[in-house]
Amino acid sequence: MTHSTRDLTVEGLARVEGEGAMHVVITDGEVTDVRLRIYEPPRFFEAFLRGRAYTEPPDITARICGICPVAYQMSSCQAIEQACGAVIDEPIRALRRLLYCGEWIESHVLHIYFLHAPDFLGAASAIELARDHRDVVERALQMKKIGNQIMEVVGGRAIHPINVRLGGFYRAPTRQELRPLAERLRWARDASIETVRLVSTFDFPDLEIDHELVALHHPDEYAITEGRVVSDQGLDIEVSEWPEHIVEEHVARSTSLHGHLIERGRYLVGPLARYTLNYDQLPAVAREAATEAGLGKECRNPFRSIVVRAVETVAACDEAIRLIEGYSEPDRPAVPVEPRAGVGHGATEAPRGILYHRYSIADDGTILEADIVPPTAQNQDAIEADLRKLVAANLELSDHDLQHLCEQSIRNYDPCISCSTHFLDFTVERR
Amino acid sequence: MDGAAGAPPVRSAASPVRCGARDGQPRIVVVGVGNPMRGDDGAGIAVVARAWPLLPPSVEVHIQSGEATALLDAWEGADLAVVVDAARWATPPEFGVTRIDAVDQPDALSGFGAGASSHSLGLAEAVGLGRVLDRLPKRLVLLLVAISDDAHGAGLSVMAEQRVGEAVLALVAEVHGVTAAPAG
Repeated sequence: MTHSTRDLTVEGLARVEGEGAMHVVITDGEVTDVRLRIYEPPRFFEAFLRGRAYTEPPDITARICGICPVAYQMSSCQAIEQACGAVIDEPIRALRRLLYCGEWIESHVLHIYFLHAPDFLGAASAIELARDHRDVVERALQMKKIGNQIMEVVGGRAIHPINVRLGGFYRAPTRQELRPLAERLRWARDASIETVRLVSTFDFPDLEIDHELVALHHPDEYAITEGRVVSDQGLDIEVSEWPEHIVEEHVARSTSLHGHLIERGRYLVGPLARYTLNYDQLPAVAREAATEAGLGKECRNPFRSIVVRAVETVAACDEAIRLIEGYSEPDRPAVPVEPRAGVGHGATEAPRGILYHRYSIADDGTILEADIVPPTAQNQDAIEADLRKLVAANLELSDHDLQHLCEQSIRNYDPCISCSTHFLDFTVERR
Repeated sequence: MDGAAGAPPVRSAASPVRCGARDGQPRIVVVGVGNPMRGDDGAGIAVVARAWPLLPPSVEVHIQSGEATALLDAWEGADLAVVVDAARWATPPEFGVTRIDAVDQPDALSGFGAGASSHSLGLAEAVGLGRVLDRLPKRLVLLLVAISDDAHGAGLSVMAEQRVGEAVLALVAEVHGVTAAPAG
């Protein structure tokens, strides 16, 4: 039998964060291998943390990511506070949720408009998008700025906030400082609804996923800062039970660990999982926007994740307004957190999905062990499975079109491979 | 590059480190861009920190990470904006500090930047967006300090230190060229 091999390589896939490569092998019309290979050097943050003081992880781990530092701060605080037996006052909890809303707005708007929308609007970059859709980009910049402003007022600065500490904050903002944000957020909520309308008109490729969907769930609110870990296939555990159900494994082709559910396999975290598992907890205005956009109570097409992110942006704006309107300055900006020997677990919903932290602490507060599981590590198997399914269903496409479809599919998940300079080589091998 | 922390006061576009422009004077904005926790990537911030005492008090000084929306806010409406950043070149340039007039030389930035990532839009994207959205200052000068090392950790290499000195002189000359010009 004669085999024909075609190789296609693209250097510098735009609008994805991280250093990696993707290799697709098609043999006699069958997809025989799909590998998302991450070769960026590991950064050893967990090793840095060993021997450090229990007060340091919120600042150290925030440096892992430039777009979701709040997620790292909140998950680490939660884990250490649990280990130390600290109970957080309700006003501080609300302030943390407000800060997190700022991060969601900032991150989601960036992804929706500047990373994902160009795929659907036929633009190669944000600048090209601005040339053809000036009003859309102007709106996006204003929305993102409001997310940044929440981060600045509550967190002290827009990137890597400096006002977060164990037990709460170094300083709580005044009502007067927060009030101007509410008016801007009302505009942003309307702009988010317009965003849902815009992105819902895009032409979405067909793809239905069957990954187990995993997200935090809270009965009274759309889970961001806390909740039980649940799935659409019956998983329902406390965050502290995480190590008994989820394991990370090393695969030779990647410097990033792959997360699996023990004896169940791959799973997916992030907007699709959150939306599908927590639809009833969305604020009414977000549910209405979703309905108008044609979304049901669940969404399993990853290309439609752009619509889900827009719905979540509506929710984040609405929630931020509610929190600001109900805000009263806490009696104290932070509760005391005294060290004690123990193990603590924390999990919050970063924009890309669950971010889990676990710390083992000595009685003097020295960190003995740290474990951090970011969302992209959990989603790698799901991304590969999507690519396999997508390539198999679109073999008739040219290499160029197939490559574009695969790049778009990777962007569905907004992967954050690392926080440095990033390239992804794409190779299709047809035999 | 993500995030800026360390040496000089770090502020966002919304709150410049120093803002003292008076009525009738040209509004001059200086932005130091980089991450001092990533070796030579802190060169842009080092330049602005060292030039600061030599700049007229009316000059508005910002230290930023290079995030595009913050840059657009910082320079919008300025008569002159000077952005100092570190740059890695595929082919090392002839000089350690490269000056680009981003308004008069729109093609000079083609090929710059890695494009948008899931973390941010950078300086090249900010210039491109500013041009398309009419949000560039009247004059925008980029001073790019050539670097080769952006490893983790604080501190500049010997080579970068030398180039920072050159860039300080270039920055001060750029600003004084405007402030010394006759009004009108």
